[in-house]
Formats: sequence, C-alpha cells, structure tokens
Amino acid sequence: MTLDEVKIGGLGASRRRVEDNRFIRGKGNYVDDVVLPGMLHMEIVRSPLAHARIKKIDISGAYKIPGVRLVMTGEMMAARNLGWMPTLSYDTQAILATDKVRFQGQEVACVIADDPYIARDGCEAIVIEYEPLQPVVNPMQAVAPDAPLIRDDKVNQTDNIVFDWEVGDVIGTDQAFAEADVVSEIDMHYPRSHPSPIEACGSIADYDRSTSKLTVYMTTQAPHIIRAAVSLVAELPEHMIRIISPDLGGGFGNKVPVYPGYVMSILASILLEQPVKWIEDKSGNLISTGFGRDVYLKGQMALRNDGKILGVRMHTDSDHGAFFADAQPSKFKIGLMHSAFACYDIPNAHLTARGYYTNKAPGGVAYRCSFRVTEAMFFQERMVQAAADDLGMDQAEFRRKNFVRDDDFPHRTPFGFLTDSGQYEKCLDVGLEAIGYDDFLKQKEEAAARGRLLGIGISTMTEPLGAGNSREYDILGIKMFDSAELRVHMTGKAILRTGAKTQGQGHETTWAQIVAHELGIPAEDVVVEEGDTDTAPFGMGTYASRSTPVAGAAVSMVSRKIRAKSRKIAAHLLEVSEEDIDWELGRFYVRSAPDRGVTIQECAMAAYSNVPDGMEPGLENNAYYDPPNLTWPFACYIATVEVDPLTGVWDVLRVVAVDDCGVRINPMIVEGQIMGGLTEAYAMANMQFITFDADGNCVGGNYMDYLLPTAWETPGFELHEVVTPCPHHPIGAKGIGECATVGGPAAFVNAVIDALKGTGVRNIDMPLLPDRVYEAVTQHHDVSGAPPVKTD
Amino acid sequence: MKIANEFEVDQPIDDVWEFFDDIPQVAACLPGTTLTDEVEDDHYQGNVLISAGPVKLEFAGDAKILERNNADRSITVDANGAEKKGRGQAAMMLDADLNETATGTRVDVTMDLQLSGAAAQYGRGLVKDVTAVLMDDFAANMQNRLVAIAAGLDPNQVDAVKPASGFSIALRAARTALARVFRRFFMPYNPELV
Amino acid sequence: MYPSRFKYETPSTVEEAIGLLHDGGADAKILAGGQSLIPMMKLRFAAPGTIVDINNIPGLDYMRTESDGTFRVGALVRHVDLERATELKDSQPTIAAAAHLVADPIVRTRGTFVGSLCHADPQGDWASCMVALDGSVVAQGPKGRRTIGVDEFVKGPFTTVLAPDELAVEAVVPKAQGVRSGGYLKLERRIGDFATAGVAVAIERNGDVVSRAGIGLTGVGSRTINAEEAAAAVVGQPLTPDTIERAGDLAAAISDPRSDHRGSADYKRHIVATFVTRLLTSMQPTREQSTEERVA
Repeated sequence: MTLDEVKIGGLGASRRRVEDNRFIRGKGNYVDDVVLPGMLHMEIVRSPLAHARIKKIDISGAYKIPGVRLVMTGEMMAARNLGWMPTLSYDTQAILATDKVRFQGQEVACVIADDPYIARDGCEAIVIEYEPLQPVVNPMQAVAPDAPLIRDDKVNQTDNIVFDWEVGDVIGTDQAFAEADVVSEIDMHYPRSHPSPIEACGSIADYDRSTSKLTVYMTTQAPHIIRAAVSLVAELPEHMIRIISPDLGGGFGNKVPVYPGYVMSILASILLEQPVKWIEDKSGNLISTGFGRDVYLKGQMALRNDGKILGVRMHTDSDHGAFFADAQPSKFKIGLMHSAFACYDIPNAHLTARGYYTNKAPGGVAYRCSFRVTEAMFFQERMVQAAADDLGMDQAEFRRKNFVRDDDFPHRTPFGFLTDSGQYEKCLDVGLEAIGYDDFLKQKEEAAARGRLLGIGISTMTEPLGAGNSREYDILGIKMFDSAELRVHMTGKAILRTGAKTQGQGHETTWAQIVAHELGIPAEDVVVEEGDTDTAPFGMGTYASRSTPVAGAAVSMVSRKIRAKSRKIAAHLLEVSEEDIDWELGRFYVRSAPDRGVTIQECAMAAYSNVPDGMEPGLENNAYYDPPNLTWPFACYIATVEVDPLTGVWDVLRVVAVDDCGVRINPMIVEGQIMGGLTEAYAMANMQFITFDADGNCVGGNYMDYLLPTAWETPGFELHEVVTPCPHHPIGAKGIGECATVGGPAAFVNAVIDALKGTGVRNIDMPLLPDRVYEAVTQHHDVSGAPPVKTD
Repeated sequence: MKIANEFEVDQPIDDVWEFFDDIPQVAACLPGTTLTDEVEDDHYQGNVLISAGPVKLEFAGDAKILERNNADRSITVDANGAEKKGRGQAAMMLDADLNETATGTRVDVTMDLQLSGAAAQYGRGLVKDVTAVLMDDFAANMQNRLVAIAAGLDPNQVDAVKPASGFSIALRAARTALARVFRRFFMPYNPELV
Repeated sequence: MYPSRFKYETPSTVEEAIGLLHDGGADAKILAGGQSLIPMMKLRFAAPGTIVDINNIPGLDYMRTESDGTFRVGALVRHVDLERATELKDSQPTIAAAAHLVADPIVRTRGTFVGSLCHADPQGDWASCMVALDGSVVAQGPKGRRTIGVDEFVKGPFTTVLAPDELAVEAVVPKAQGVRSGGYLKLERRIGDFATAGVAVAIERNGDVVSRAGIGLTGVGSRTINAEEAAAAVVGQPLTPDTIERAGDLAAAISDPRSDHRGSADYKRHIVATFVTRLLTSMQPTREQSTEERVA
C-alpha cells in the first residue's frame, strides 16, 4: 500500500510546527536562559553623542562598587590588538571606541560584575569627558564642504565616501533614453529601519584554560561564519572554538554580523577565566546593531508612447553609518540592488551607487531581504507606477505589457541575472480577480464624487533568493554553500543536522518534511538539530531567504544518498539485483512482483545488522549543495486604501497577496511567512522609521518611537497562490521568507499615491505618517526625504 | 531646541546690563541650579537638577561668558554639562541682547539647547517637555528678578511667575481660522467630515 | 529590567502608606499600576529610594455612581475596569469613549485611572477627560483629605500639586447639569502609541441648549490643556456649525504643541480643531453618529 505523503508529513503537509510545542510552554532555551556556574555579567557604556572626541575616561568610580570585577575601555582593547575588528564588508569597526565616538550608542566601555544590577551601577559610575564634534546624519551632510571627516582612523580616507560602484550598460542605456518618447523620473528615500527581533543580541563566553577551549552561546543566525570570524579576530584555533546558537527569538538579518558585545564578552572571559554573560537591552539593540535600508533612490525610465519600457537608470546614495558593515556577498557593494526590474523585459539598464559614512549605527543588514533587494523592488514598483501615471496608462496594463512572458525563460535581466521560471501574468490576473479590480475602479470614482479618497496599489516582482552559486557569491571569500548531515538509526528514526540556523522559520518542522518526502520516513520520526558548530556541518547560516534554496536542497540531496544506499540494501534483502527494484514512497519493491518489498525502516535495520558483503555498515551521509542558480519566486501584492483628507490618516481596506514560491513544503508555514512579511511591509509603509535629529540623536531607539504594528491595526491579508516549480531545485522549491516584506511596501505606497492622483502628488516617502500625507493632500506637493525630526 | 523670549523692564539699560554681567545672579534664575566653583573670571562650575515627577537628572558642568559686548549690550553664555550617571549631555548657548526703549529696557533672550544621549532619546521628548518648561521659567525668573531689582526688592525673595500669553493665543486662533478657510477652498468639500 | 536599588514597602492601609511616604520624603514613590513608573525605573530615569506599593490596600478598587450622579473612582481601579463598565456609555460617555483608547490592552489591565492622573504626562488621556468633565482628585495626607480640581492638580509635565506625603485616593466626576454627551478622539500611529493629539469633549444640555461644556487636550502642550474658551464658545445655546467651528479654532489656538517626529506644531493644532469639530458635530442632536466611527 502506498504511503500518503501528506499523512506522513511530507511535502504539502501543513504540519504543526514541532518547535512551537516548547515555545508555547515557555520551554524554549534562549541565550539568556543559559546559566553557567560562576557566570559574571557584562553591561556596556554607550556614547551619548553621535560624534565626539574622547578626552578622558575615569573608571575609578566603577571599581569602588563592590562586585565590579573588570572594566574594559578602548585603550585596554587596543593594547591587546582588539581595538578594531574587520566587518563583513572589508572595512574595520571599533570594538570599544578609542579615539572618538562615531555614532550615538557606540560602545565606549564595559563593566563585568557579579550580577547585572551591579554591572549597571558600575556603568553609571564611569565618567567620560567628550569633546563634541559636528554630527553627520545623512549623505548630503556627509559631502557638504564643511563636513568633518568621520573615518580619520583610516589612512587613505580623505572624505566620507565609502564606495562608488556601477553595473549595467551605460552606452545602451543612453541610447534607449535618446530613443524614448517619454522619460519618467522619481526621487525617493527608503528610510532606515531596524529588523528588531523580539530577542535582542547576547552571548555567554566561557573560556576554559584547562582545555584551551572557548565555548560561546550566542544569538547568531550564522554560527559557522562567527566561528571563523572569532578565530581570525581573537587569533584562536578554529577547533578550539565552539559556537552554540540556541533558540533564537527572531533574527530578520539582525543576528548575522559580529557585534562588539560578543567580542568583549569573549575577551572578558579569557581575562577573568570565568563565563561572562552579555544580554543587550532592547534600546541597545535598536541604536547600535545592524539596521536595514537608509537609501536615497533616483530613477529615470525611458518609455515609448505605447507603454514599452526601453531602459532604466538608477542611482543610489546609501547611508552606511560609521563603519561599512553591511552583511552581503562581498562582490556587490550595494547588495543585489541591481536585481531590480528582473520581471520586466527591459533591454537596457544602468545603476550607479555611492555609499557614505555618517555618524549613525553601522551595518546595513539584509533585514528580511536578500541584500538590498527590498530597496530594489520598492524602487522598481514605485518607478513603474510613476511611469504608468506619466503615460496615462492603467497600472495593471502597463505591467502586463512589460512582463517577461512565460515562454521567454531562461531570461537574462538587464543587469545580467538569469531568471528561469515564472507565470507573471497569471499571478497578476489572480490578484486583479481577487481584489475585483474593475469594480474597485468604479467604486473609487463614485467615492471621489463624494469627496472620499480611495486608492489601489499594485506591486509585482520577482526577486533573487538563495545566495548563491559559488561562482558569484561569497562573504569575505567564503563561498555561500550549505550542507546537511543525515543519520538514520536502526529503527528507521533519524537525526538531521544542517549548517543553517532556524530563528522562527520552522526548520525543525520543514526539514523533516523534506526527509519524509525523499525517504518516506514520517516527519515525526526525524529530529532536526542546528546551531552548534561542534555538531552541525558547515553552513553559511539562515538569512536572505536562503535556507530552503540552499540548505533545504542539501537536505534533499543527502536524503537521496541515503536512499541510494538503502536501494543496495533492499536489493540484498529482496535477493534481486538493484536494477530490478523500484521505489515508491517509503518502500522498495520488486518491479515484477510489487508485493515483494522492504520498507525504508527495514533497510535501516539491515544497515546495522545485515549489510551485503563489502558494504560499510550504518546509514548516514552528508551533502554539500552549491546551487546552480538563485531561485526566483514571483509575487503580486495589491492593496486598497482610503485616505482621510482632513487628518492624513489612511486605512487599509483590503490586501490581496498572490505568491508563487514554487513547491510549498509546508503551506501553513509559507502562509505565516507571507502574513509576517506583509505586516512588516505595512509597518514600514505606515509607521516605522529610525531617524536622527540635528544633534545626531537617534529617534527610534525605543518601542514608543520605533513602532511595531500590533494585531489591532494590522490589516487582514487574503492569500492566493500560483505554483511554478523551480527548475533546478531538487524539490522545485523557491525562497519565500522575505517576499512580502520586499514587495509589500510599494503596494501600500502606490495605493496612497493612487488615492491622491490628480492632485499633482507623485511621491510621499515612507513612512506615510498622517502629517506627511496631510501635507501632500493640502499643499499638493511631494513630501520627500528622510523624515526629519521637526523641531520648533 | 531654540527658545526665544523677550520682555521689557522699566529700568535703565545700564542697570539691566549689570544684572547680566553677574553670572551667579543669572544662574539663580534657572530652577535647580547651584554654582559650585568660580574657576576663573567669567567661568563657573555648577550643577543643574532637573526633577519632574519620578524623573531626576543631574547635570554637572561649566558656564562661561563667551562674548561680552559692552557697546551693543549683548552677552553670550556657553553652558554645558554631562548628566552625572551618563544619561546624556546638555549644551546651551544663551544670548541676551539689551535695547533701550522709551520706558526702559527690552531684553531679548535666545536659548539654544542641545540635548544628547539617553535623556534626549528616550521617552518621546519627555525630557524636552520638562526642559522647555524649565527654559520658560528661566526667562520668566530673569524678568521677575529684574523687576524686583528695579523696585528695590531683594531678588532672592521673588517667586517665579509665568507670564500670561493671551496675545499669542488670539493670534493663533486667527491663523487656524484662516487655515480652515484655505482648506475649504482647495479641498474637495465634504460636509460629513468637516 | 535592572533598576537602581530601592526599598520596597507594601502597606495594608492608606494611613500606613501615608506614613511611609512621609518617612521616605521626596524620594518615595507610589506604585499602583506601575505602567509609567516601572519603565522609567528600568531606564533609570527614575531611581526612587522607596517604592510604596499600594496594591495590598483593600477597598481602593471601587468605582461607583452616587445617587446624585457623582462618579467616584478609587485609586486601584484599572483602565480595563472602566473599559468593561458598559453602564458608563450613557452616564460617562467621555470616559467610556477614552477607555478603549488608553495605551494598549496589556497596559490597560494593570494601569490605574488615578495613577494616570498623578503621573501628569502631557500625553495622558485621562487628565484630558477629567479636565473636560471638571473632575477632581481627592488627596489624603497626614493632615487629612483635600479635593483638588484636575486642572489645578496638574502643575506641569509629570508634576502635580500633591505633597510628597499625600496619596491620591480617589478621582471624582461631578454630577451632570443636564443630559451629558461626550467623546474622546486620539490620533495615534499605532495602538499604544502616545497621542499625536487627543481631544476630550464633555457637554451637558438642557433641551437643546448646552448648559456646560468642557474640552481637554492631550499631547499638545507641556501639560494637559483645559480649553476653557473653546468650551465656552458652545455654552448657552444649541450646538450649531458656527459655534462648533469657533470652538475648534479656539481649542487649536490654545494648543501649544512641539514639532516632532509625530508631526509639526501646525499639524497638531489642525488635528485638535478637526477633532473638536468632529466630536461636537457628532453630538448635534439631529445626527445619529457614533463617535467611534470617527476615531482616526
């Protein structure tokens, strides 16, 4: 009898998340839950100023407090050659400030004490004298004639520019513009946001002199990269470092980089020979760790009167903060920004990018995003709407006209990526049908006659997920592949380990489903383990929606190796040759006598008790997977809104999402990812930003100012699907974790701009706060730029 | 944060000038201030305690007369300090400009306050609300002290009184009404919403 | 959270609490709901030497309407108690409208009505309602009790006229001089956000004629604002579009907001005018319009 794949928790089963059992019972095991004997506690003193020279640090007061064990300053770190550390983008970052502070919240000193209360008392007793310097809080200020040099620590740095970078075909693009009937332009700012996982960062470093082994419990999405980095920075042998990333309370890209707090706790543990715990508070996390976005975008689109896009010019001015610590493949200075316009058939495109140092926190991380893809797709879809408006074309029609057609794959994008699959028009049609597009346009017209402002916004995009093939993608030279290790026990139960690290994605559930699909072992019989570098095989970690495309593929491949060996065992047990047996889910059988068969569990038992002559016993293997290409999911998001012209408040009426992420392993988890992503998209469009006042103060360093939407105001989402399997992924899956965050914001913004159509307003920069919308509605002009902190 | 105040006292400009020349006298107008040391001429050290409900912040720092223009009767004081437990930094530039009028002296006081650190960052302007009131009190106290001196009273006996601002309220009412008319003119009129 | 060291006291009577406050001096703070005090202690902006937790004092959690219509709220009544008291919809419409807009559901289960008044946050919702209703606070100290009008009670940002050894035991809303209507509107970017601007309106009518009106403004100045002139503009006559508009303009004019990342001062004044207008318009007898529909 054939197994029912859904019943055993294989592909397509909306299996309940196994990890939730412990989470909802309060039995999760986070870094802060780990208690080691003799553990001390560390707290950080942060700079109150955005830019200042450190004149004097007096730590004597801290040592007067009973229970303070150690105070570390930049000077002490520098004496041990640990004043600075390398970033993921070939720059350097101060661990503790030595010469000057370069952003508000920068680490200046730390106190290690018997308990966290005393550590904080110790921090308060440290007196630091600063000489304030002029703060630089945006790219315009960074290149102003009187701008102070932020990175005077770097020998050849004479200005505040991090890089100039370009990609695309400048000649072809110029030609396209020369032939254009219409040139559409747009200027935007994608504000600084923060991944803001609910658990902040933290570590417990435990250096044992007797074994020379350093064990670090750490909030990291990429434990293996961290091990390599610690080995290089602390000059410790890699095999004497064990990184354990236990349960994570979310990551969203924030927990990829190496932060000074980790390094300080490690050094403190080495110096004191006791475990040292550092648990960052929420404000520390918001003001000092890896942010997202903060890019000014300028675009031009060359158009033919009939609606055909001939070419695109893009320019980005990106604000990287005080240190260039973006987490992204090293080759691409501004991430995968040039993945923009991949779903449209555009012959020519050119992108120039300039990065700037400012007195802001460093670390443009891939916040639920494949390295700046969020900005790219926002840019693309806002530009597309502006172009459709300029041509007087319907926004859906304009997209339809320019989509890459289903029979055009593989398709080379204007910036050189290779897309391989998709049904773009079908997704759009499903979305338009679901929202009732034509009816809404009528409704909108009727409402306008009564003074009500309704709008509809569309966002369609394909994005590159699953970095990536080793030809193109590496971080500091380490290629971005992943691996999986599967051990099937004699009773047919199994343990699977990967180098990825779940932080809410549900790997413990879905990886087991892939094994179930490949081997017919019920998902519940497979335990999944990740996050311990002493036990897990190598992997680049989980971010940028790369787990399923890369580690997930490795899980498939290792399962297939197990199946191949099992086949030999089955042939031995069935006493036929390998060529004479066939596989159905969970069972090998003799082709000519299908009733004669052995289950995978029987093969497993035989692997430990009755292997054919010459075969190595046991049933385990590993697989490294280097993906041949990125995966290209497609999405169509449509939002309808009503704007209150007297307050500028806009309410979401409906949101329709059509996602094509190929084969869905666990549809429930996929839907959860989409809803979570749309919630973040709504947040960025509606309320969320980290900005800075003229004095360099970070506004957005706490949850009263940096707003996370709650269930109360988050709109409902109507989800639909189209399935175009990935042609190169072993099970046809594509990434999905970030799609809605990436594509969603433009749908909301486009909807509000659509509601104001006819007023002359082309753009309001995110977040579309009521006062900004009100200004646009009443003054009939664009409201652009980083949201300034207005002061009287 | 810039806060500007102007007031008039019916005292000769020379007498008012004398008041501003005396930093301890001026400092006494800022609630919660104690001067602890005179480092040198025109350079003092002291503390400012900001207390509002449960919140207490104590800044320790310096005040220096940066510029004194006897001819124009203007003075610039630069004060800055650090919160004693590292919760922030404050810097204030105070400009006082005296002008002779028919009946006495008009005083223009401009204060430019820069707050940094946790004090400025947290609590959505909590500290700013408090300091704005403090600065207003500062200006009002200067006025009161000058009036007291003019009346021959001991300035240390004068209580702080906040001046009424009836004029500006009427002005704002007019402006809001105007804005409403403006809005009607340019907006799709919707009686349900107005 | 890791606050500074403090002494923790749990009195079981009001008298005992007052004694502890007296001993603790300016350094002692009362803990009722703790929804503002505790975060400030976490950030170490507040470092009280003594916490006097009044949650163990019996008999402070009452909420009752006297036979003459006076409404009394004890010091341990939580926001959620008012939110769930459906009978208030008719008798105390302003309070009923505000109850579900205060902070977020989590804060509402713990935070107290009287505590919110004592905290005197310019962005506190209840003080505006009480100003609109001409409410007062009953304070008890070593020398006995005194009743203070909320407008006078709130001195400035986070500052009240309470002496360090006084405990606010009760809030009082006087009986209505006519038929009461009222509402509360608040512009917030998210539930639990502090108000960009908030408006509380309470009117009392005999027939169509407004006999008393009160308007309280949230978050548009360094303290809760009593928009007396605006309220006076609608008293002594039926509500008309003209008087309503005048009230809106006067309320906007007395607002003194700071420009910040929630909006410019002008925008906030505009919101005040708009909300006053919307609330009063919704109270025009001919219109059957729920204030809730107008909640931004």
